[in-house]
Amino acid sequence: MRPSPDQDARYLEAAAAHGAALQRLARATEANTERQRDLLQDIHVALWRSFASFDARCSVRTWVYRVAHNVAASHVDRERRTRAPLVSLDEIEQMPSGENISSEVEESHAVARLNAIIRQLGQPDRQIITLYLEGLDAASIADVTGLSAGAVATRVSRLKSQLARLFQENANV
Amino acid sequence: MSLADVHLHAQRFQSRIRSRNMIEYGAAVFVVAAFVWMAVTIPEPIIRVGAGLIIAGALYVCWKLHELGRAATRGELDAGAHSWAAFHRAELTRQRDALRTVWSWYLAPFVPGMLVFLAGVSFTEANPAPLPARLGVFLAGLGIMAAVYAVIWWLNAIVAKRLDAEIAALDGARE
Repeated sequence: MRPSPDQDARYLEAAAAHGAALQRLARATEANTERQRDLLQDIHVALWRSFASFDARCSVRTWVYRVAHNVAASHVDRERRTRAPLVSLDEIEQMPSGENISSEVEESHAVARLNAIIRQLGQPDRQIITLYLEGLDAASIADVTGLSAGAVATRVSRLKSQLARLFQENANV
Repeated sequence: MSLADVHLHAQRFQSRIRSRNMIEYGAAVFVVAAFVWMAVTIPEPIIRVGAGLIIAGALYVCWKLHELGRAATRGELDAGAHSWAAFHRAELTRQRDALRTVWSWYLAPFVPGMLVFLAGVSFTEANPAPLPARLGVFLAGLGIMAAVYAVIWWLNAIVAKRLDAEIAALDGARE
């Protein structure tokens, strides 16, 4: 497949604008450092390939997030046969311990624990919380996920209060 | 990632897809090789016909796996054009439909060949056993084949049902 100059240029622009967000998504999706790196590479490759058919039907940001979350979701589906079942945030009773999180060297403790929670979540809670943490509003999250804006707003509100409870309980320990 | 790295990894992605398909075809190659050997070494015409039908069934299954793999790859390439919910639903539906139809594209193609092969092995003139004994061998073989098929169908049906529930939950979340 011969790349077009447009495809390369669009990819470079998107990677510059959203590369950090893609890295955060890979960290929130995969705990293992090596698989995290592979996932990030897969996201970048998928993003580049996708720009061959980008037709401006949505904003570049929405397009980038769609590609990234679809690749990450496929990664989770493939990996979940060997993992513990994914749960809703209500079912996570306590903050994960930071003792075994190898990425704590690079991340603050709070971010590391937050990522550990996100990795336990089922879909679409996982997509919604990661997009919310990137600063997207409910309408933008709805655009990326394909859920209704009302459903997104309700889930965001619930997720925020559950996360606040978990972090508060951890602070009180 | 640099642009050069992205181009390189994109080429490796294609190689990974080809490798994934080769693993799936490996079992079919083994089946074809085994029954080609039997068709060549066993002189009984009916056994040779049965072996030939099994080989044809294996080649058909290979072709269906190739078609399903191509559909999956096309789906992956559409990742940006669709929201997560639409992309995920399409993936779940594709997997569920493949599991629901496993009888028609994975199990049934082997039935004619297995029946003829089993009949050839059971009723060969080289077997000196009386007819009731040979009939017993044929029916026992048929029973084992039916049991294996039933287990395969049942396991696939369980997973298809789970995927149905996931699709329904996803549809509920989109409302």
